[in-house]
Amino acid sequence: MEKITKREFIKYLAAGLSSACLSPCLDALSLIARLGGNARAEGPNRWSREAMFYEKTERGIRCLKCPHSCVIKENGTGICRNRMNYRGKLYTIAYGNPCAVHIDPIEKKPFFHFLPASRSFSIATAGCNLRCLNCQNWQISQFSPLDTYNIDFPPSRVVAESLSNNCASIAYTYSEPTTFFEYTYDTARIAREKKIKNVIKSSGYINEIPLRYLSKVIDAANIDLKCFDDGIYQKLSGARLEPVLNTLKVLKEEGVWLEITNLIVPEWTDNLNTIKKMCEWLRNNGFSNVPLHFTRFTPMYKLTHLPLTPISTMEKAREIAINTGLNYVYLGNVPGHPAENTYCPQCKKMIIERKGFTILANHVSKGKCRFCGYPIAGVFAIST
Amino acid sequence: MGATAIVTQIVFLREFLNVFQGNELVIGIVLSLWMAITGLGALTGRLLEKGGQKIAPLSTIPLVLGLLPLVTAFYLRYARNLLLEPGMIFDLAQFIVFSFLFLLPFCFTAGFAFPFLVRAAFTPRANKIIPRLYAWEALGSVLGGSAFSILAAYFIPAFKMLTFLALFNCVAALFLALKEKACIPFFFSLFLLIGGGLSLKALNLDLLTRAYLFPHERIIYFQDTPYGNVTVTTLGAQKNFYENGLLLSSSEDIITAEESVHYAMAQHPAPRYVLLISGGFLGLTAEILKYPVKEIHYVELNPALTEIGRLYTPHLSDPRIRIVNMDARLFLRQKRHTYDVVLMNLPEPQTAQVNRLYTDEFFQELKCLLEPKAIVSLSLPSSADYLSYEARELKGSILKTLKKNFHHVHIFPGEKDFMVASDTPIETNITTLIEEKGLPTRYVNKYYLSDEVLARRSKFITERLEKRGAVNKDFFPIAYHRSLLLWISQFDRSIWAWPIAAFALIIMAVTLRYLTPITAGIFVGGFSASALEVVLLLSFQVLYGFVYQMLSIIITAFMAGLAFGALGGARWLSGNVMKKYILSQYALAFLSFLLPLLLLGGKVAIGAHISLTPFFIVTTFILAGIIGTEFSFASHLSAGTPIRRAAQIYGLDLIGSALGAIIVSVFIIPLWGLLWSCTTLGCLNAISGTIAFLYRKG
Repeated sequence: MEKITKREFIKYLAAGLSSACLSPCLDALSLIARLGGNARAEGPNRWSREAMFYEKTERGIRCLKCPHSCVIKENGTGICRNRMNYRGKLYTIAYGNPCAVHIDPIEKKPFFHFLPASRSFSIATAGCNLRCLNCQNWQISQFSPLDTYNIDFPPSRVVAESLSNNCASIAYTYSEPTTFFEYTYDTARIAREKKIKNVIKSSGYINEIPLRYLSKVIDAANIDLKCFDDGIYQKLSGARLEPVLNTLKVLKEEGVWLEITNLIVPEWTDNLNTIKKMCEWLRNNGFSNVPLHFTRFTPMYKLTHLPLTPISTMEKAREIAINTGLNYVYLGNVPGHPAENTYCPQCKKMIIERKGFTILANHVSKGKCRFCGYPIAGVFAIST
Repeated sequence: MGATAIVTQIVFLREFLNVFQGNELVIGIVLSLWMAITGLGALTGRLLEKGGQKIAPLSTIPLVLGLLPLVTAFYLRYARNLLLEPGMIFDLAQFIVFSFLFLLPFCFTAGFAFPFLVRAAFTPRANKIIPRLYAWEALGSVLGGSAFSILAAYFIPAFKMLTFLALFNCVAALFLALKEKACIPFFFSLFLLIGGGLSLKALNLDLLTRAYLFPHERIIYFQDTPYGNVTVTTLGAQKNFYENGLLLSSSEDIITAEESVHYAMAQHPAPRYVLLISGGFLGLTAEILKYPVKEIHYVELNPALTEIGRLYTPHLSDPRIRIVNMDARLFLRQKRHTYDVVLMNLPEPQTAQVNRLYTDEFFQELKCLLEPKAIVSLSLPSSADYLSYEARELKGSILKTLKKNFHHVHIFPGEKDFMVASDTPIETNITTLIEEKGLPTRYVNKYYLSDEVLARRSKFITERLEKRGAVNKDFFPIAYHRSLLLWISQFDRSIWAWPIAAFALIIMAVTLRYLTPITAGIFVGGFSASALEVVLLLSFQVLYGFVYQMLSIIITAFMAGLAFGALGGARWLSGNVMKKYILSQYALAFLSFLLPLLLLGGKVAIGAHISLTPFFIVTTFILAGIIGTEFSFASHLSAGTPIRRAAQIYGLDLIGSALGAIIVSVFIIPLWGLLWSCTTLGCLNAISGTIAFLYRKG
């Protein structure tokens, strides 16, 4: 039998101990691997569909859905992370695989003039074509569906669950519904057949053609008009102002019920002159009867070194909007504030007393103010 | 140089936390980069031996080292506005790159200065110059660190401290320049001394630069405290309260105040004594006082926070509120009172220090002070509408830890996720409860919340947390690692991996270039020094509590141990030095293996009310002393000229420390626990000792 020397024995022992010491590093390395890389889809699967709105170019596939117009190379994805080029075709990988499925009061979206006090079956897949520094849902919007825990929820199931849960509407929300376009579109078509309304909560960063397509199947939209300054729009969210303004016009033209949200972020979007310009534009372009929700900022995601929006700033913004001629202006994230209520634009009386998601008093009758008969804009009941 | 380095390190770390964010990873990166760059500077010092002439007078060293911290700190505050948009946090990749760039001038110079000093001080007979200089540097750190930590941290703001430091270095440069007869450094030092002295009177750099941190708000209170920076600003009529640059809350933040209180308080039929841990001045006391309580014991570690509460809010004026400025664990151990409700309004466990208040042992200690129907509440960041992998791991860990100690735990998903725990069943129809009690709330009520929606969301979260996470323990602090992973997940991982990989490759290449059977020991020694310091500081906080002065004393004991070990080792450089070097590594290995047992013994001592402080001071001193002697032996045994040896030994010691600072605190301790961390350190030292043994004849 071959003997080993004392030195060799110690050498092997040292090597073994090193391995034992290093083995927990594998735990760390596996964590790093998990953080550092995502599983890549090997082509289309059950949650993929060939995408709508794209064209082939020499450099790759150009997606035509949003103003980014991403040119996507083979096996790559666009900015939204959920459209993929596979063998020369563009596929959405966000179809029937939402990562968030909840039932919410519709006022949470917020919709104050659309089926008030009703429930909305809310879904979202991962992915977004914006990069908002203060995104509340960054854990789904800034990731691909390949990174998230998803649920198998084909369009038919969405509609069935909405019906069984007595939801008056389906909300495509949380992340960015225009990026899971095909899923939204197909689900909305089926929902319409079952007389369920379809609402979207969106950044509005979408090209006109796909938007008009979508408008045929949705009933209401709440669009985030983040700011009226293009430079700030780009820095804050990685998008541009003009396409969003165009979205507002198209939705109004297509007859989709519209509400607008403007988040007032200190040092970013709290300039009252800019807010005034925004309100003037809305008035001049026929949006006086579109509810405008000013919401209070809370530190979130990558914007954590900022304070909450002062309530006084929000009240000033609301005053500017009303003085400019906008009829329905609300303050969000300020519990108990009188600006949660709806006031008649003509007689100024409180016609809907609202506290949170609860209607305490409703003086709108057949779409008109009960006190003076002025028509109140909104969809207050489901039309059959 | 040692005094300058330690004071600059403490001030810089505070400034970095102010500008970036305060969690274990950020602290680890800053300390790690500090030591790595200093090590690279030292290794570069090898180039000095090629220069036949002096490259610069010795007096330039204190001059440069004195000025650089002041300039760097100024740009650190100012650059935030240049580099970032308002209110933004740094991306992790940006943070690593900018930290590197900001630390480079001072740290590289400080590292380079060591072999520079060796070169200047070397004489053919002074063969112990390296360990002596190392010892003096460590002693300088002791003095500088003690003076700053114990005195200046409370009284002297950052820029004033750095100005004093610059003046101190100017005086040193002046004397050296006189000795060397170097004109330019002499006059320059004199000019700076006079200018610096005048600026102390005329120019308030602290006041000037703090505005850069809050450019659009009016600062009404700004205080650097041992626990971090506390600032109060106004924006319109609203007051905003910040700690280390992060918003704690703003006035009129009803939602946070109500959720933090009512989900738990409403559960109890008649709460009389309430323990509130942290954040009372943010409106929570006003909500608690809506109940017929007898007393609120509000425990806040940082006295500056209760001071601003008294100055700028009406929330601490009620006579039923008793304020205690103390570490919460230490407070619990005093067992002054029992409680009906405990509200923990803490930040998430992103540091080992905060993590101690989320552990199995903490909840066991807490239970001893709870009345039979008591309720406990804590909160974690909201998962909003989705639970990522990282969020599941973190929340799963905390939930499991709570369930181990309480029969019932329920999650209320609000603007944060509130975990409410009790040994009695928890009422989940919170809005019904609020209405039955007739509590005047603006947000936590049936108008803004729906019991049905809350229940559904709670079920959604709880189902996804089952079988997730491990119990969070004092000596196995898994939760802060998971919390860091959650924090990291918000950054684009395709970007931040590159600077880390690049830097790690540079460090590895440099280390392997200089690694020999002798220097391997010093590399491991440096790694162990950082690691053991972290282990000891964490253990002390766990067993005793977070007491700033005590932690400073332990750090001082560590530096003192290094100094005495190096000096002692220098005296023993006769006979078989190699044998002594091998034995010192085995001694360190043995003590590392023994440390967990000693710490477990410490737990028993706590129970028997035996003071732990002398044990920690002595253990720290001995461990550091052994590392100091290793340095002396290694400097004697390694080959080459004194400059080359100084550069190699000092450089590898620091690079080893750099890796220890980050790997141990961020990965090894939370993932393996303290026991296995110490065992690993023991194994590493045993291996390096064995390598030296095998090659001893070579």
